[in-house]
Amino acid sequence: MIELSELFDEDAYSLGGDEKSAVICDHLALLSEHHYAHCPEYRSICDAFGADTAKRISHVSEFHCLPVRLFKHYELKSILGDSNVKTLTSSGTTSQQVSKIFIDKQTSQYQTKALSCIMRSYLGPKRLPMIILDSEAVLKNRQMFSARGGGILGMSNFGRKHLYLFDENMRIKHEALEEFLDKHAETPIFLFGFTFMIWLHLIKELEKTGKTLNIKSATLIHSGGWKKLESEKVDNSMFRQRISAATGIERIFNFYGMVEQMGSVYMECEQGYFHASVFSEIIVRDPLTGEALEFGKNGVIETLSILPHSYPGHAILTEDQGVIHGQDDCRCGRKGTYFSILGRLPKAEIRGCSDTYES
Amino acid sequence: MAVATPMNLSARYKVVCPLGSSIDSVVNSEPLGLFADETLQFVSELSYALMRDRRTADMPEVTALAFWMRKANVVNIKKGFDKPSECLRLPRGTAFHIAPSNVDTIFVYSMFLSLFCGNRNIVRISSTPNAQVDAILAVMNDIITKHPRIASSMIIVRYDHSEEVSAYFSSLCDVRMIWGGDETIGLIRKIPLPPRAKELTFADRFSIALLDADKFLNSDSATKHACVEGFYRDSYWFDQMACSSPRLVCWRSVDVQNVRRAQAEFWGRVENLLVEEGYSTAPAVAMDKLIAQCRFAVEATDPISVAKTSNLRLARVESKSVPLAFRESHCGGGLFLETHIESLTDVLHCIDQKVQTMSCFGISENEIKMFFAKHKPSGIDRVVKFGDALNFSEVWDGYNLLDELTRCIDVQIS
Repeated sequence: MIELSELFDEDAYSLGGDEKSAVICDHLALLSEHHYAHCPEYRSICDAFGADTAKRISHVSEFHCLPVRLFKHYELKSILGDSNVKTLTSSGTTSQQVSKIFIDKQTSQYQTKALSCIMRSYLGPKRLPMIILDSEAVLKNRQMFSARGGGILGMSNFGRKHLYLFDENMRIKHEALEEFLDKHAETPIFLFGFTFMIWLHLIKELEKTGKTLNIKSATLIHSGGWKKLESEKVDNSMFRQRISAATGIERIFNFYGMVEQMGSVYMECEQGYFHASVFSEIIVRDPLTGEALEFGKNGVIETLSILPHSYPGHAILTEDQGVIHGQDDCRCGRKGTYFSILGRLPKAEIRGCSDTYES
Repeated sequence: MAVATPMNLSARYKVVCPLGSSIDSVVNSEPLGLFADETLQFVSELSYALMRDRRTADMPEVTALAFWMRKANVVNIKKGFDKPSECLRLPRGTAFHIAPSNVDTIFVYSMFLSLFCGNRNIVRISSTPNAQVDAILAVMNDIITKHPRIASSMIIVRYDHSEEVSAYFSSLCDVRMIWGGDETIGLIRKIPLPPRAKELTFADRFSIALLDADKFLNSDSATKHACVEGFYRDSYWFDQMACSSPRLVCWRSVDVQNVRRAQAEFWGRVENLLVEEGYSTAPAVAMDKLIAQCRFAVEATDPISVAKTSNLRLARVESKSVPLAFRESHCGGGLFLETHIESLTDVLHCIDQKVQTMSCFGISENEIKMFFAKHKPSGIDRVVKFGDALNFSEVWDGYNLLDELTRCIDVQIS
């Protein structure tokens, strides 16, 4: 079996076919047994569904997965002893309940190393001067990590000479920016931020004031939900166009990730598809039968990650819809499964005797 | 709380039936008699129209409502009420009905029972648009113009919940009917009523189904089919969200093997019927069911087991005991907890005050009567056959509504 430590030094997208699926299966089998032994809630669920975690599994779709919402209902963890644990929460802006994820030192290291391995494929081996499209104020509260703060800290490892572009009022620090760009005129730079923040505080702000930036040789990586942008009728291609127009940036990559599986993110490639790396796999399931669907069919996304040791987040059924386009043959040259996200599952209409008040 | 004047409140609610009517004209109208001819004529015309109208075709709950309102049934209700030896009955006066936002037809049942009793009616329905409600209102508005006496005895209004508007209507009423949600009841209860007024509340309830596994296995195919069809209707018509729809299924037999066999056949037939009926489950509902199954697994004190079904239109969970989470995190849409009992007495372990309806297959009336006489359970207000769980009745939640909606005059001069 190939150890995690060996994978961190390899290219995140060089393994394909049976070789990759063997790596994923080996690690997930160990994780399933580990969480079965150490997380009582995970064990109860596996028992109720008749999922045998000791069974030899031949296909990644056979691992029992947990619906992502369970992380909001329970504090799911598989932590031995009193190792140093930090709690990560989803930012919870749209729903009141937040996910709570327990990350110990080991899992945290895995996440950092995996993310670094993935980012190398997009940013190259050297750390680039970095602009963070957020305010440093977000990081102030270190006790309770929000996903936003965690995401920023995680990504800042891949850059140097960090500039937080926004002040505490989320206004662009134009002077600091000019200074930064002058200083690093000769090198490519790296920008990171959350999709909606970029839209609201960078693009719309520049458009409003009629200013443009010229940072053509930059790479922008962004993440976060599209929900608020959808309500403004902004999709990925419109987002890219408007960024390019306002800043000149052309290398723009979105990634699909979640607080429940930090580290093993799904990066968007030059062809516009999300890719599973060697640390992760993706399955699309029929929402009613649970059956794993063939490529090209729309369904509910399940994400698998071989990183989570301190909490049972190795196989998660999301509430996102998506479609897998293929495996190992994307024109971007990266191996692994590549896919698109087609938005959230539409909300259910609730009937029943028991509610007159809300409306 | 100060009662606001009607003038500045009328902008806060919308009169939806009869169009152009006002609260004043209803409150000042002469009460109708009990089961007045005019009322019976109106109800029967409305029943006929609802059965035939294009707007209400394909709405089974509206068809069921129209069926309940047909002349023969109303005559039956009247017969049950004519108790010659008892006291004289008169309308209470004005009834204020607060209907739930999500069972589309309950406001009509509530209002008509009250009309039968001769009361004036103010009916609050939710302002959330709803195809069923809109269709019923449209048909009602067509017909009511020909019935001025009825038109002046009722008014249906829509408003987003407002304590002031509800307080105003409450100040006018002699009986207030709150159709559910414990939370709603709690909030409305804080609004005072006139000293002589009374209140009927219909709290959150849950329902169960009880089958005798041996009787099911020994039934002929037609009987089994009727049993499953009835169960389908009870459970799936309101996506299992009506309080009378079963959520818990108790299988009775002393023989575990028979329970297994009966379950396999019963659920197999349910799954086939779901396909035949084209019952569809939205992906988000399927997800909710899956999450509910996981939550039972985590929160149950005894281990549970999730029974495999071919499709999440039907979701099953088997358990020795009945975990509380099963009710609290139930999402509807066809999610059933099952438990095996050896005798009717064991039902006691599965119920409490909150249980409303027990629909039965293969259990005799005699057994039920003995069960109630012997154990005096605090729950269960209705025992019906499979297929009848959703049938509205003038006896509901332990009340005889016709008695509750009338005043009893004691005359002792002979």
